[in-house]
Amino acid sequence: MGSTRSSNFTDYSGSRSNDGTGGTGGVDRCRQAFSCPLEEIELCDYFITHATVPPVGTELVIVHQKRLFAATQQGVKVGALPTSFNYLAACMKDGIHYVGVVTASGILPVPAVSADFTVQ
Amino acid sequence: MAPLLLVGEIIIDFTMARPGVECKLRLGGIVHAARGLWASSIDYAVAAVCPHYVVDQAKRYLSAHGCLEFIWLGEVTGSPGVMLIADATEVSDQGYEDLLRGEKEVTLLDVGNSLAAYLEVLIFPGSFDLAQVRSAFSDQARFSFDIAYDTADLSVLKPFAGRVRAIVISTSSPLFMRVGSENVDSMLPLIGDLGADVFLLKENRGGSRLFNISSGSVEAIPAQLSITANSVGVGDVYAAVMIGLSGGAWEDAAWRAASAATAYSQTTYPDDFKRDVERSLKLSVDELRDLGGTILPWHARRHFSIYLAAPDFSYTDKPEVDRTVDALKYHNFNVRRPVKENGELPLGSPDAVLRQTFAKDLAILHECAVVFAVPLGRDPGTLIEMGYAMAGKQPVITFDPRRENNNTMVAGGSARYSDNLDQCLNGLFDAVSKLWMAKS
Repeated sequence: MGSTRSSNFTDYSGSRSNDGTGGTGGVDRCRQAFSCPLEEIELCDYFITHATVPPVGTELVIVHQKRLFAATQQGVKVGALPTSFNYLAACMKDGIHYVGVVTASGILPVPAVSADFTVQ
Repeated sequence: MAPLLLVGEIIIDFTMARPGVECKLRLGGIVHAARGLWASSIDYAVAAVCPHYVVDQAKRYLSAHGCLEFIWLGEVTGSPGVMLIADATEVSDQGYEDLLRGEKEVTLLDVGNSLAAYLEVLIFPGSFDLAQVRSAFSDQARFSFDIAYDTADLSVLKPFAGRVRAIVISTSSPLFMRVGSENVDSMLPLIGDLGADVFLLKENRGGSRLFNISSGSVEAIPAQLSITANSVGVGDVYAAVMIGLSGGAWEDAAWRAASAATAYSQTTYPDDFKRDVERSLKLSVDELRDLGGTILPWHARRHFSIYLAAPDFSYTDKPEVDRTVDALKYHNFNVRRPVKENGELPLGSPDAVLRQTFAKDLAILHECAVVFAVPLGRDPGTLIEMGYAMAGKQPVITFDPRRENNNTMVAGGSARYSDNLDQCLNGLFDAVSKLWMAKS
């Protein structure tokens, strides 16, 4: 009768379960792939140097230089990650690194780049 | 550092199931703060007011999560101490239902000298007598307060005057709404009179501000907006970790505490929470500062009018529009509703009236900073308003709860497009925050 999720307190540290209760949900967001549009593209070195954006398929990494930026493998900054991804800075401090690829880009009406990322 | 003593009520939080979200049963009240201290490796103890039947379970749970001592401070009768939570993401008013709260009675228990040894105390005022609690502590004890729902007036803190370190308050608290919602400056002398070092104002998705009363400085700490798993107790974690780390600079403690609170909003699993907090502790406070985030003070929001583009007609079934309006008002945005301001036109209205209303609606749109669109039923008027705003480079946030408009031009032209109101609110805070920062 009723949900087993309300029969007792299950969120104890160290307990594990596959039914959504326990101390961990089994998900580490540092290790999850993600997609995002980049910001401040016009202010970044790639656009300043090339007056354009990198083409679809360009390989990227994430660098932490005060803010988090997507950069080419040569380290040229392409755009800033939205601040909703700031948690990645702590992931990177913990030794996790990310690689990505440009999935869409264009310069009209404004420079825009979208990218997919995954753990290296 | 000596352990921090948390004083307040322990209740049982039950977040009700919704489509796609399972129900969740947890110990709440000051246990949220306790989880924050445990995750941050800060020594703490608890003096709890709760029903007798909760005592053993709370003691067992807290003991497993770092609590050094559990003192049963008060008995609750007449109420089970169960909080039903309808919306754990605080899109709007969280809809807490404190069962049988009208029948609730608290009897403080004789705890002898067990509180006298604690010199650093964080109190979450509730349905218990604060003056009586004060008398159980030594004269050397220092107190901080996180004021939520049960304190109508700061005068109840007078017995603590001269021994107060920090006052923490949220923009969702009735006290703030009554005293500070128009002008936060009016709160500062009241807090100064208590002798507090700092005042922390938690502004939900708009970040927080730490007012250092002695130096007169104000530190703005941004929110890190992401998908909210749970907002219940997030502010409690913020307060507890800040007080727990206040042996150093208050500002540094607040930045650390804000990080811990953000992590708490992302999960309801304690081990995942602790892992994320430990990771964030690897970043220096300067690194946290440099990362940035969303800052939009409560009082600044009224300066940016939000145009509601939606079939906001009296004859339309539009619960999602009504929910949106509630959410925008809850977060102190100035919502402009053209249909309400300029009126609904009956079918067959004369051409001149149609043109005049069109012009009046556009005049409102021009006065607004951002368009928040809810294009239910692919309402043509709403879609035209969205396109008009996009052409004028006004940010458009599109909440499409029925997924009827998942189209290149709608999604691609919106600053944020989602069927999730929580995500759209984050997009709105982001957009208005950028406008506010550019202006200030």
